[in-house]
This record gives sequence, structure tokens and C-alpha cells, in this order.
Amino acid sequence: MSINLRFIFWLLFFALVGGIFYSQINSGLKVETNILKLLPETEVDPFAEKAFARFSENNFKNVIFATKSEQKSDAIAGAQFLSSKLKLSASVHSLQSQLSEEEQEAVGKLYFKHRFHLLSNSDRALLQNKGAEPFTDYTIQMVYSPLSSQLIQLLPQDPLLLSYRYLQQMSDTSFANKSPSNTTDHSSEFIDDILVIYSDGAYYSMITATLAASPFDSDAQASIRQILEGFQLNHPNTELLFTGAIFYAQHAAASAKSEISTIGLGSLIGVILLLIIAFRSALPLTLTLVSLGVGVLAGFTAVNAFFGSIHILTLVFGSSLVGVAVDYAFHYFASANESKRPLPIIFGAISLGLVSSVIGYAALFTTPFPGLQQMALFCATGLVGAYLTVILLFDRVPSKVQTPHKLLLVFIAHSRISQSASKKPFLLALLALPLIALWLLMNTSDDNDNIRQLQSVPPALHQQEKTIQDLVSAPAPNQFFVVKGPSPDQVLTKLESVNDQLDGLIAQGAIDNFHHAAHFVPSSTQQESDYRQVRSHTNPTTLQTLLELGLITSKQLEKLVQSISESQSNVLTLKDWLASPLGQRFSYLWLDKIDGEYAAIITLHNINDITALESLADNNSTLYFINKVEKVSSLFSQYRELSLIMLAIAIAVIMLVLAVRYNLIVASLIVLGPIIAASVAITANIVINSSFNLFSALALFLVFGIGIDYGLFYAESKKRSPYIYLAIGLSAITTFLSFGLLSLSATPAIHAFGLTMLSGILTVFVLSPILGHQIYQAKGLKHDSST
Amino acid sequence: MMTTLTQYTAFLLLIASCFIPSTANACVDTPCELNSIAKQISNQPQLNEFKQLKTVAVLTQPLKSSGYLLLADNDRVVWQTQKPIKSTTVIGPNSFKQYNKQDEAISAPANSNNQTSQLISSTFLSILSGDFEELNTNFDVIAICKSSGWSLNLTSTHSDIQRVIKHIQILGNTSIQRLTFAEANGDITQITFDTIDSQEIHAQLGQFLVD
Repeated sequence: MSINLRFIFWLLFFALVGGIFYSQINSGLKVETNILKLLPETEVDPFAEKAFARFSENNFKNVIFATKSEQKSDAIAGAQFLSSKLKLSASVHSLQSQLSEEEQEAVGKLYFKHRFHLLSNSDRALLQNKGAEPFTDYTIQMVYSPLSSQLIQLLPQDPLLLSYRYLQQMSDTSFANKSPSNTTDHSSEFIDDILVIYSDGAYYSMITATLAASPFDSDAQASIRQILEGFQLNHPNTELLFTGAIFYAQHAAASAKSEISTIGLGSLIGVILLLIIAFRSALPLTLTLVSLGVGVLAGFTAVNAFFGSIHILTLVFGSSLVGVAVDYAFHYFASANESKRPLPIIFGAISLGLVSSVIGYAALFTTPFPGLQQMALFCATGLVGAYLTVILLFDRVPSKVQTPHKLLLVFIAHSRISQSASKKPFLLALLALPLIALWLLMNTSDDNDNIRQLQSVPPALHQQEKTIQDLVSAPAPNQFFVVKGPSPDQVLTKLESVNDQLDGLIAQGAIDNFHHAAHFVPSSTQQESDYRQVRSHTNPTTLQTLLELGLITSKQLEKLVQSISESQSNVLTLKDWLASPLGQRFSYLWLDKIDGEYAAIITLHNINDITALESLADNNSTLYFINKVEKVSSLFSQYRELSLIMLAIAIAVIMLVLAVRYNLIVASLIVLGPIIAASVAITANIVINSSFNLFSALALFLVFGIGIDYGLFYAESKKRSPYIYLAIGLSAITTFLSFGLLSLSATPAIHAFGLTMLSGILTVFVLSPILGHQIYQAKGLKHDSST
Repeated sequence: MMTTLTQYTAFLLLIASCFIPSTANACVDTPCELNSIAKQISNQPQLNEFKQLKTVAVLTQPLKSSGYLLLADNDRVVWQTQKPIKSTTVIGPNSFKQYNKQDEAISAPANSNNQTSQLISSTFLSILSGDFEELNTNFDVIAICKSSGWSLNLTSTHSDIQRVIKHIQILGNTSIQRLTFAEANGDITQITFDTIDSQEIHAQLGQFLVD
């Protein structure tokens, strides 16, 4: 293919990528920062997956603040200042408040309207066993208490105080702030709509806010941050605690952004310096940067086109692509030292290199893990972009290259030393390393396969979350039960049917409390049966004492009996409840329609024993237990194993391709380097981090891709050339640089990835001339005699 | 509606404060300041008899009731209505228990989450503890001293309290004798107290203090 034709192809390729990128910019680029978007669907049942998504969407928007001070007044003043600022902020949708007077009245009216249909569990039993007498006694006790006039007004229409009793019972089960069992000194009260908790010698004023936008929205993050800073300035003596998804998201986004710039910029500067030192000309530098630019652009565009957005961690990871993609250009210019037309010399090597890398990434892409798929696609298309630029564009701009002799000597010296080590006993001794790595792998616990690997969690933030959760019994965000049914009423019936078992969980200490919608709206079956009871216990005989005391007249009673019989169908519906102020506050309990079925959740408070919850769900077909953290962790272990198997398969395939092209010995020698490197990387991970997790396993794919590249350069060369050392040396340095920087990442997953790359590539680099020598020998090339 | 129970609690606490006697002989000659009245309420007679008259707008007849009040150690009080039907309530700093006419405990936990009821509780707690400074924040307090005794007139200034209580009057001489309580809707409750001395009643009420 002529140089000009290739140039035209490159222009077409560039125009295509650029065009797509341009249209993506116009329609708005989306950078995703929600780590859950990286995760695969953890639930086998898509229903449960959607249930979790719907619940967490709400839950993620919650933010809890606590102002802490030894002075009660300081804690309250701080909370008042904060809530006034939050109320003004456009990022805050609302502050959670107590029911206002009007709202309480609306709720009271709603339940009063349906009083003949509503009995609490204990009242139902009481009415069944002892009839109306305990109710009338209680009415009298209440009426004769000094402050009861509001209740007295109810009597003609509700002489048994059913509505009052139901509301009372409901507020006890739903609003009760149970003090945590581990603190003895604990009390709480409301002061001007602010919950003030006294615990362990300090006062905490709590504010719960709901965000207007997603916690991953950077504007919302900035405005909340501003409010917090304003608070600290105004209240230097009051400690401010806060928790919520937004703070974790903000931290993750900020550290990811700084990592992208450190890693991307760091490796870029390294590449530029190396190019200047090694090739002493502006043209190779420019061309290399063009190939990198095209590569990154291609990767970015492809991921965006395929996934609709690009995740910020993909960018962090992708920024290290620079270190790999630059290899093709290095080989080109290293060969340009000895030939005016370097492309034919390196074409086979870099093409095979690309193929082996793409095989590795393709294996990664087959995992049902959106995060990995993004990274695989980004790297594969990025490499293709860089590769195409090298083979299509570089020849169009001929450049004269002169590598300084001194630099060459360094790499040749390295090769000489390596040659002396290239003895059979040494190579055999190397084979012990995979065995050591295997043994270590078998004997390391895998409890580090955890969702937290994806997010660097600052200890301070984690501590605050714990403190706040100890203070207020908030529902667990990642563990809950889901119940579903064909109609809302059937869901309510199912919720009622598990009450006893859930009470059992409380009794055995597995949880402190639970909430579900049937606490507020009993099923229609239950309401109808309660109605029949109430009706049969409302007559002149049962209400005799009240009649005698003049608390109700017989005329009023007559009217009451009639109104009971008229309201037979007056069942409290879920719809009415959801529309009420109470229903709005507890709307998260009702997930509504998912895939044609209705669903509700049961929130769990202060979980102490997960296994008890799991076994309850196992033995009860109505309950579906969702445990996101556990599911993700077990999924990570599963994928770690899966990815190691995929890697083994990829090695076998590459081995097969190589054996066909060369022979079995050369193929084995090429593959041996990466295998030893992987062993060293595994050992390094276990020694340093005492774990080998999914992300280290994934890095092995890259170690293999690059390691095989190095072997291929030896295997593909027609003669022994010092410029191979140059190319490999330069490539290794840039790889160290980019992945060495990656290992500094605060995100545990990326740190593990970088460490694996660093130790793996270092091993490959040290081994490559040793094995290269063996490859030469196997191919029958003469001993190194150049220079 | 949900607030009523705690208001009840709070009210009973208020009543407890009415029996605090004065070691000094009345307040005839003392300057009429809150502090001086507060100082008088330091010792309390153990057992009292009460009569309550409740005038309710919606009822043609006023509601009459009577019973006993025992002030025990540890800031606990037993309030027992005898007529028209026996019922007993035991209130402590952190507890609230109710018993029916068979002296069986009935479940009626206090609602601790309602702001209004908490306001009222804390108001009466501050009366009980003689912390009249605190009282000034939510009430206009007028103390009047005559040769026959003293009276405290409390008018609520806090909007949440105003919705329930309009006015409280406490009359006393050597001890608190009458409490008048005007609710926001116009209903009036008047309670009169007499110190009594009966081992039998004392023991009967004391049983409720045994856990």
C-alpha cells in the first residue's frame, strides 16, 4: 500500500473518530461518577435489581448532619444556622421535618375517617378476648385526666377511642427513637423541630436533608461543600458531622480527577522527556503525541458511543494507556535508527503485539461487568487508534532519527548482563516462582473482594457515618427485604403475614426494628375483619358505663351505630395513605409497580446478625433479602476466579497462535516471561497488601499483553539488533512511570492494579533479554556481536 | 390528638408541684418574687386527696372525679382516681405507667417525639423543680401575695403551648390548695387538694411503686 493511500486511510479514520467525538460533544458528554454504575447486576432476579435501584435512588439523596457540642445551646444554634442555609440552597430539595400542626391534623382526620376498620395487633387481641370493657375503662381514664377536652369531643363518634389508639400505636412503632444498646447515657428531644440527642457527654442536633439532584451531580457537591465551609467559619467551636452518599461521591470524584491529571500528565511528561533524550528531534515527539492523542480520542469516543457515558474510573485507568500505546511509536523510531523504512521491520512485531493485547482485552470484555467492559473497550480501541496512526501516518512524514550512542550503550549493557544469566539452571529455578505464587493464592483469604475497593473511603468520613448511625436508628441502606405481589392489597397481606417472624428477629436481637407499609395501611382483608369486630362491640350494652356517665347520649349512640353500618366499604386505601403527609414521608417503603408486579420493602434498623436475616428469607418464599454489599463482594471473588480462568484460556490461545507461527519452544519462551512476571506480581500483592483481589487479577491481563509484546520483538527480529533493547527499554520506562503512578492511587482497586503492573512489568523487563537470548538461540540467530 | 397523653403526664407532674409546702409560714410577709415562692416549695406532704371538676363545653354536665395523690421519693408520684372509676398512673422522671381498675398494667407508652408535648412536659418539669427562671421563657408569670396566701398566674407566650393551654393559676398558702387550668378551647379544669393522713391509703398507693 502506498504511503499516500495509507495517509488517506488515516485521515478517513481520524475524520470518523473526530466526527463522532464532535457529535458527542454537541449532544453533551457525560462523565459518570456513581460507582454502582460500574457494577454488574448482582441479583439473579432482575426484579430485585430494579427494587434496589429504586430504593437506592431515594436513599442516595439523603444527607444527615449532626452538630456536636458540649453546650446544648451551641449544638442547637449550629443546627439552626445550618438548616437556614440548607433551606436557601437550590441543591437541597427539602429538610426532613416533624409533621406540622396542619399535617398532623390531616393524618388524624384520615385515620379518624377509617376508624371502624383499624385495630392495632394488641387491640385486636384485646377486643377479641375481653370485649369492649378495657376500651371503655381506658376512655374514662383518659377523659377524667386534666387535659382531655380534645378527646372528649371525639367520644360521640369514637367512644372506644379507636382512632386515637391506632395513631398512638402507629407513632410508637414508627417514630420511636430507640436508644442504642451500647450507650447507657442517651436521651433525645425535639427543640424547634430539631432533634437534639444527648449521648456520652455531648449534645448532637440532627438535620436530615433530601437533595434536589443526584449526589453525583458536581454542582450539588460544590454547593453543599460551600455550606459546610461557611458553617465551620461561623461556628469554629461546634463540631459538624455529616454523612450521605454525596460526600463519598464527592471524595471519589475529587480524588479520581486529581489522579487522572497526575497519572496522565506524569506519564505524558515522562514520554516527552524520553522521546527528546532518545531521538533528539521534534518530529518523532510530535508524531508520537499524535498517535497517543488519536488513541485516547478513539478510546474515549468508542466507550461513549457504546455505553452512552464514560465512567471517571475508566478515565483514571485509561490515562495509563499512554504508557502502553506509546510502545508502537517507540519501536518505530528505534528501528528508524537503522533503517529509512522502519515499518516493515517492526510491522510483524507490533501487529502481533496488538493482536495479543486485543485478545486479552476481548477476554476482559466478555465479563458481565460494565466497569471492566468500559476499561477493556477503552484500552483496545485506544491501542488500535495508536497502532493505526503508527502504520498509516508515520511513513508519510519521514523523520531522521539519531539515538545518542551513550543511551544505547546503557541498554546494551543491560542486555549483556542478562545474557550471562541466561543459563538453563537459572531458567529452571524461575519455574519455582509460579508454584510459590500458586501456594500463596491458595492460602490467602479473599475477604478483600469488596465493593469498597472501588472507592477510597476517608477514615474521618467513615467514622462520622458510624457515629451518626449510632445516634439515629436509620434504615440500613444496602440490606432490606422486598415483598411483591400482583396487587397492592396482596402485597400488604404478605407484609402482615411476616410480622411475627420479623418480631422474632427483634426478639433474638438480629435487628432493632423494622418498618413496612402495612404498619400504616392494613390489608383490606384485615380491615374488613376488624370492621366486623368493631361493629359487633358497639352497642348500648357494651357502652353502658359511658352512657351512665353521660359521656355519650343514647341518641348519639344510635347515630353512631348507623354510621358504622353505613361505612362498611370505607376501607383505608394505600393510595389515600400515600397521598397523606405521613405517606409522603414514608413513601420509600412502597416501590409501586416493577415489571407488572407491585413491590414494597421492609427496612431493617441496626442489623446485628445478617445470617438470621438470610435464613429467614431462605425459609420464606414471600421474603426476598437484598444484601448489596455481600452480593457485590461475592461477585468480585467470583469474577476474580473467572478472570484468572479467562487469562489462562487467553494464554493458551496466544500460545497456540505463536506455536503455529514459530515453534513450540519459541512460543513457550515468549509466554514464560509473562507467566513468571504474573507470579512475581501475585507474590508482591500478597506480601504488600496481604490480598490478591479482582483488580490485581485484571492487571495481569495487561502484564501479559505487554510481556508478550517484548517476547515478540525478539521472536520477530531477523537479526540481533541493539535497537530492540532500546525500544523495550523505553517502553518499559514509560510503563513503569504510568503504572507506578497508578499504584499511588487512593482508590484501593487502582492501587492494587498499579502495584501488579509495576511488579509484573519490572519482571518482564528484567527477564526479556534473558529469554530473548534463548529465543535467538532457538531461532538459530548468532550471538550478539553488534556494536 | 397524639399529644394528649404526654400532656396528661405533664399535667400530673404539675400537680405534684402543688403540694410542695413552705417551711416558712406562708408568704404573707415575704417579697412577692418567684424565687421566694420557689424556696418555699422544698418539702412535700406525702399523701393528698384531690377533687377535680371539669367543665367541658360539649357536655351538659361537668365531669366530677376524685382520688389520691402520693408523692414518693425519687421524684415519683402515684395519681389514683377513685371515682367514677378506679385508675392509677405512676409517673417518674423517665417512666409513665398506667393501671386499670383491676390494677393491671395497660400499655400506654408516652409519645416522646412530639414537639408540643415535649414543650409542655418540660414546662411542668420546670415548675416541679422550682426552676422558675426557665418558666419565664414560655410564660408570662405574675406572682401575687396577699395575707391569705399567694397565687401564681401563668399565661403561655409560646405558640405551641398556647394551642393547648391558655392559662394556669396556682393558689396556695401553707401549701398549694387549688389549681385552675384553662384550656385553649375554653374548657376549665379545677382541682382542689387536701392533705390527708392514712396509713391504709398510703400503703395501697405505695404498692404501685414496687417494681
